[in-house]
Amino acid sequence: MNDALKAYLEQEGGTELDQDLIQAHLRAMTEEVVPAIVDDLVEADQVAAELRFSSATTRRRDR
Amino acid sequence: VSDYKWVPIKSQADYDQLTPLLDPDFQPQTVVRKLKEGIRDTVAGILVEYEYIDKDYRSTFYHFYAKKGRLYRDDCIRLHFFDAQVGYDTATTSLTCADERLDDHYFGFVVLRPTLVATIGRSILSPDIRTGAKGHAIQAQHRVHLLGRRLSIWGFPSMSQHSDISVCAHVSCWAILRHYSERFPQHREWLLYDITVMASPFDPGGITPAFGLNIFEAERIFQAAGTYPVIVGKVSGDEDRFYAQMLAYLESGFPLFAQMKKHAHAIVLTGHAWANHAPPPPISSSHAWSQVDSLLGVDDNLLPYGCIPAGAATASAGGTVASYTADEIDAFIVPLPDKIFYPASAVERQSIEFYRLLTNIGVALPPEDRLLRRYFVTTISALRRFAWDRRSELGDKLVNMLMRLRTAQFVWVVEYASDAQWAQGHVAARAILDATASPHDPMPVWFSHDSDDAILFDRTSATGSPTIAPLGRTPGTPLGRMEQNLRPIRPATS
Repeated sequence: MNDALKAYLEQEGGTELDQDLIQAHLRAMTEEVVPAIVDDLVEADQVAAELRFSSATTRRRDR
Repeated sequence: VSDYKWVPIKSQADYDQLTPLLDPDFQPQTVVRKLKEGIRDTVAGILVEYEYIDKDYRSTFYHFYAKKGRLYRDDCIRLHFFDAQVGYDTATTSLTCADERLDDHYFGFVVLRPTLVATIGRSILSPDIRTGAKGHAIQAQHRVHLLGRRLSIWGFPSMSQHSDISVCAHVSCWAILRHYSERFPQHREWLLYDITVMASPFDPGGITPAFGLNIFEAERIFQAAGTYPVIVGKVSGDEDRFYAQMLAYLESGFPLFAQMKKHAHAIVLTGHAWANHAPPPPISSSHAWSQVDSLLGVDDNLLPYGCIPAGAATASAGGTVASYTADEIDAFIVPLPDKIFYPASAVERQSIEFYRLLTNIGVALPPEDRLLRRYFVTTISALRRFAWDRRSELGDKLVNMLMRLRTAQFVWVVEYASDAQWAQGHVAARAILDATASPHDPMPVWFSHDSDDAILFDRTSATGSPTIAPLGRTPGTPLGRMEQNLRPIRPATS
């Protein structure tokens, strides 16, 4: 998977990124961002449920 | 027997010539008024095609109008719009065009149906001739057979609601699904009567639609048609996130079914125009929505591509056509294809945290108070087409990487720019996210690059390490914004 691109990057002088930065990012994502994303989805589901039976339209008012 | 009449148009008053040519069943005065109000003066000739058989009108005729006590005709009239290079020769029943490139001089058609009221039926018009239309619009190429020729026109479907068998929400669903069937071969064509039936778990018999539709019924239509609809509602105090999602899906090329409770009305959002030049908002809402001047709407009360100001502050912007603003949109439905599991709301949060990672890595990104973010879904094929078309700008190495990048079919593209770069149509960096990622995925990123370096994120194992490599691009060559899903509107001039 992505071996061809990985090999290409290495051929072009690619290096591994600083693991500390990546781990800090993963921690921030796991502890703060992902829970917020999930909360958003739960709220969006509730809003959608309330919206489903709201009227989208009524009869035409010709202009 | 079909017949044809040519109407030369040199001024708005010339549209009045259509009135005596149209039977009163087609409501000619109202049609002429709408054409005068809504069509640019580029149109120099209209071919009237009589006794046209329109599949969408016939679908309602067979199942509804034929059952009524009043007699309704079964034929329609089609009006075709051309520029000044085209003429009509009655002796040979043929269109004449000096360069024989009729497609270049054709602006589409409007079908008139004999329903006495709301007679504008299935229409495909180029946004280039619509008064006030500007920016970019979602369009598909539609084939048109006329006088033995096969013409093509880029546009978005529209029609007036019938008011008896269909209301604006049916028509909005029909327009979106007709766009899908023309644009994407995997989607079948649904006629207007099909749409009215799909809204209910039983055959409504032509009565229920008159009472209007609710969001659930619209969602049901999109589900029955084989799409995966997502409902997004506006929450008081969190409007920025709502409009960011709206723009993200719109820029992805998905037309949106938009609800306005205040007007008890539904329309289709089909495009937008940049140009607000507002200062960037705080990073928590640093989305490019702040730069939107107006949206384009397909409203069954108007000709298509009505210009909708983005907010009350821009409501006086030139070209305004609709009587409402984007502030009045309360919810939208986006009918998605399968395999888009990572929603726009997740990209909204993820792209801010990813900006912080890139900044910590040393990527040259604008400071938070100058930052604008923009994101949209595209296919990996479209991304590679963009790379190929812009290979001199991107440089060989970046193009090589994008051609080798292995992803899912759909990807989210996130672009970061400063407001100064935005004004030039440039970006500072771009990230390619996995549109099939779980919302729980802490690193849903395939790839990222700025002007100097590219980063490959290994999504093949839990422990894979990102690799950064230099791009070796020509110094000082800016990266251009990727705008591929929507087509630019080029207002035609006479």
